[in-house]
Amino acid sequence: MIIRKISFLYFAIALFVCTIYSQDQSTTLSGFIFDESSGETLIGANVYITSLGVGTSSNGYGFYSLTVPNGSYKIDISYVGYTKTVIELKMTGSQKQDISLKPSSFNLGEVVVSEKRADENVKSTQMGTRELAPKEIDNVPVLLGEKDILKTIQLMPGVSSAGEGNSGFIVRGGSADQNLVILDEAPVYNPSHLMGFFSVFNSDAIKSAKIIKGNSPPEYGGRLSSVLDINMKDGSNKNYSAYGGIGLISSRLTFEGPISVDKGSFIISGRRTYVDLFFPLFGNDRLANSALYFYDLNMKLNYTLGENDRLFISGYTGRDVFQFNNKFGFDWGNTTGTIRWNHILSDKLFSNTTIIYSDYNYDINIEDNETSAEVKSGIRDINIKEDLQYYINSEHTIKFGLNGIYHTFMPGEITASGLTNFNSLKVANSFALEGNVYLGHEWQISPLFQINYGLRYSNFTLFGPGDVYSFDNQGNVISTDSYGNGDVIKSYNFLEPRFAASYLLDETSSLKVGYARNTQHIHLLSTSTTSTPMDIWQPSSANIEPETSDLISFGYFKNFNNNMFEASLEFYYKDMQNLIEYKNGADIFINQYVESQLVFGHGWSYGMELLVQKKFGNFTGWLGYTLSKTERQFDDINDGEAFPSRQDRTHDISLVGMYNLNEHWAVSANWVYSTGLAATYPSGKYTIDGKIINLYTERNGYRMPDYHRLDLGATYTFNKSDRQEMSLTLSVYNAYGRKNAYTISFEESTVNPNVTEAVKLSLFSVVPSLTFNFRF
Amino acid sequence: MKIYFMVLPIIIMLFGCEDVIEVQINDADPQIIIEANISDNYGPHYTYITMSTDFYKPNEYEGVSGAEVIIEDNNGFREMLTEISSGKYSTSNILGEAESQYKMTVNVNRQQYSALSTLPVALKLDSVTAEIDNRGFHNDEENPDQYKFDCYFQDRPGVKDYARFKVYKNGVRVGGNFLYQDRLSDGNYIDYFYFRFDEDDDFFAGDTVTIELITIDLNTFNYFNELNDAIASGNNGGIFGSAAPGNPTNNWDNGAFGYFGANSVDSYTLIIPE
Repeated sequence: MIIRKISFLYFAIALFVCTIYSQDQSTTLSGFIFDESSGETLIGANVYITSLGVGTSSNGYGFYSLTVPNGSYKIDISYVGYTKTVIELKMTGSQKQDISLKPSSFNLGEVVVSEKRADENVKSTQMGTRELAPKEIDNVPVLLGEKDILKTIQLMPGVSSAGEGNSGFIVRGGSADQNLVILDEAPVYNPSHLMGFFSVFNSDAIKSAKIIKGNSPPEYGGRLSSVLDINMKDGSNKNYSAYGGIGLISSRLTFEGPISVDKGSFIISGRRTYVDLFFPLFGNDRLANSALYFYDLNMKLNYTLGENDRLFISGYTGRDVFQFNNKFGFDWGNTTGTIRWNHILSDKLFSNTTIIYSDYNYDINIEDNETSAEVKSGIRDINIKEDLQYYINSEHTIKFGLNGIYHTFMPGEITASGLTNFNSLKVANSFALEGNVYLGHEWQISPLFQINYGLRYSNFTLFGPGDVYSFDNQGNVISTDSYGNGDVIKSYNFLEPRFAASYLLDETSSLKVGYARNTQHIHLLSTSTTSTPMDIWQPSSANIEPETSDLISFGYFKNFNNNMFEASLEFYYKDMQNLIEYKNGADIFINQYVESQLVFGHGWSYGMELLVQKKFGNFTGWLGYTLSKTERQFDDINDGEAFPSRQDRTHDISLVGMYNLNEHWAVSANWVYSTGLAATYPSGKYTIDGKIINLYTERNGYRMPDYHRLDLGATYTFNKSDRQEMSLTLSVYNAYGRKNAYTISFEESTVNPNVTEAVKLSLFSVVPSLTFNFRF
Repeated sequence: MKIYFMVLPIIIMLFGCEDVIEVQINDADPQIIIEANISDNYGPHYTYITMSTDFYKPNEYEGVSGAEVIIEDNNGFREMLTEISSGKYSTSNILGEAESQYKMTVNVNRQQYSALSTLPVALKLDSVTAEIDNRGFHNDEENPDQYKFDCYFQDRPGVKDYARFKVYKNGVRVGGNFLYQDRLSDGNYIDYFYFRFDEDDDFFAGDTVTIELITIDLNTFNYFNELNDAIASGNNGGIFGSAAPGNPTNNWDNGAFGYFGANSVDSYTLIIPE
């Protein structure tokens, strides 16, 4: 049935493609765009023919294709941070032309590399989208000197932090699990280390990152709020190099180089924290047998098989390990793998075939005398994906593709032996197949008016073996249906329309409008507001319907001073259905009836986002301001009344500045401000069993104190040549020592037990750190 | 099973800082609280009826006098409790029996509140052992001699058992609500050791410890479970407990706070040897 639907859609796509493919006396220029020094492909580099006023930009693999009438042209190839190259071509027949760009020799200009063409902000249909490269964030001061792409993303309007020092992020009022975080297309199910204080992305291994705040083109899907698409570096195919850093809490080391010059390259990058290496020095036996660390390992290989084929193999594995006195162990982590095959079917048709693996799991070990118990839980995906890009001519580009994901959910199992408090128990695994087909059409209707529209069809089918429970209002099981191997337990189908349009008001300003529907089939069940390693991914099922969202947005985009400044003002409204929350006192740990612990409701978020960014020069930076409101409504919470959600931040300001003083010194600062989190405070108290119990009235009816913080950074570069570089970075987190509330608790006074008081816990006061970075 | 949160205390220890702050609170109207228990031990058993108070007022809770408090069981036994001090009501004859269902009805201020509870078959403490704690974080160099306890008892196979523990140090109640359920341990011989005390309440050689194993019904368990959750999330800004603290659901039918529980109580006393 599904296969028939998919084949029908493919037929429809083929037909559609044929009808708009009608061009004569034309010629196609295609090829790859590279960085001349490293051979890394450049994503989003601009190819432009001024005399015709047409252009294109390179895709995620550096490929471009431009079809124009026969003739002689001057072609500009440009990319921010690189010297613009002009080639003159007489084009009569189709030609292949690979282009290498020189990194801009003006040393200081390299702060920004991954931006698209200079006027992309205004001219593309993209809304609510930002791109970042590690170089761009090199100088943003961060907690404990650990550069972190997830934390820098939080400095963009519409994106906020899930909590103090937390790498978890919130996009336009959505929860943290509504962000699709993909590393070389593989989803990373738990992108944080150590209570969320650090992300799993080692910035040395990252080439670029792009966040799309809900207005995704149809090739993306599966989460309500955003897509964070992270690409690993390919590694230089010209020469070998090693670089890394020694920081306060971790060290990093990366090697890269050619496998065969100009044909293939590798990169391997690792990071490990080392606080626990000092444990034995404390002279405490129990500590000596303890561990607390995390590591990340990224690897990537690529090889050019021929003129039209390129193969990429990349992988990531990382783990947090916590062990106490050899008696209690807890470790968790992600492993992903991606195999990609780029194939140029014709000079206009680019294909990418991908096989993706992703796994997240945790493991708890308890050993005590004769007792031992092990707890395991996780999720595993295998995804096969085909994406095609068809560059018909300078007005039309078609993107289409399909994929199938096989999900295995492992909610939990306990293996106990010896005298023990636990029985061996396993909550049965669930299996699901998620299939998607999409078609998108980018259409330059006139020089001023461009649209990008498409449709995504998604199917989610939960298969047996499995039991389906029905629950009464109290959460008691009233009936159980058992399904056999391969039986369809529940299947959902969705059509997700996507639309974006831009209209140029003049050369430097445009109006844009967008609509997107997103569906989310898998849900993170989390008992707390920050994400924890023990959170469980749960499939949509007979009891849990997929979450859906509708987002409309509208924006005004303007560039100033010859594209030196970019500005945008966006308004959005988002409606979210079938959101999930826990009942109070919910027990999700190895619970086969976990679905009885949930309540369902809906939410909405609306707001305004302003971004003014200076892109070039010795001084770069941006100001982001968001004014928004996010509410939820659940029949079973707060007497059915709407309440502000934990994601609600009325005002959110980020101010980021980086200044290159001279060849040696660069300084930076950022300041953030946001309205305090919505919180539930007691409205009274009473006593039970001799203890003071707080009385609550409305949910999230109060506000924590406003959050603000200044971070400072300074980098001194010792010597710099083409191949070598050494630098020292000093950063100060929370420079003026603002005691921001991490939590506020309401409890008996420690001084006078006859009264109760509110106690604010603040986590990080002034935290200085020093990092040494090198490259040779 | 919030084992994981052992990581956060390290970060709080390294970087955290606590301050008392003044918070503007919208006071709720006083609410009625009825905390009622009976057990299979000889009484009297007490029911406390109090009113809630404002958060910034002293920890004094006005007793509610003049209530008519009636307890009855499903065998036709009925008794009215007598008020022995303001808001404190006492049973005279009733002795709880396993598997009987009890109903309490409270008439006060022209409102009637009632609740049901079934007295469960008791879990019996087999033994309690004390030994020097060598597995916790709170055993530091200065305090090497604090004790931990292991309570041994047999869980009943095929029956859902729920219990709470109360711990007394030299006759004074210490620690919070320690809960037990057999969802993951049905029918096992249990070694329960999940007690946590404040630093001031640590046990040392020579101390007398009394541990009560109170078998409770599902409603009472849910009440205390949600209460613990609300305490955890309320005290930690929603980091440890549920997303937002709330009032625990209970078995009173007319919006009263508190609970009514029929319990089996087994206790074990031990003097920690010098």
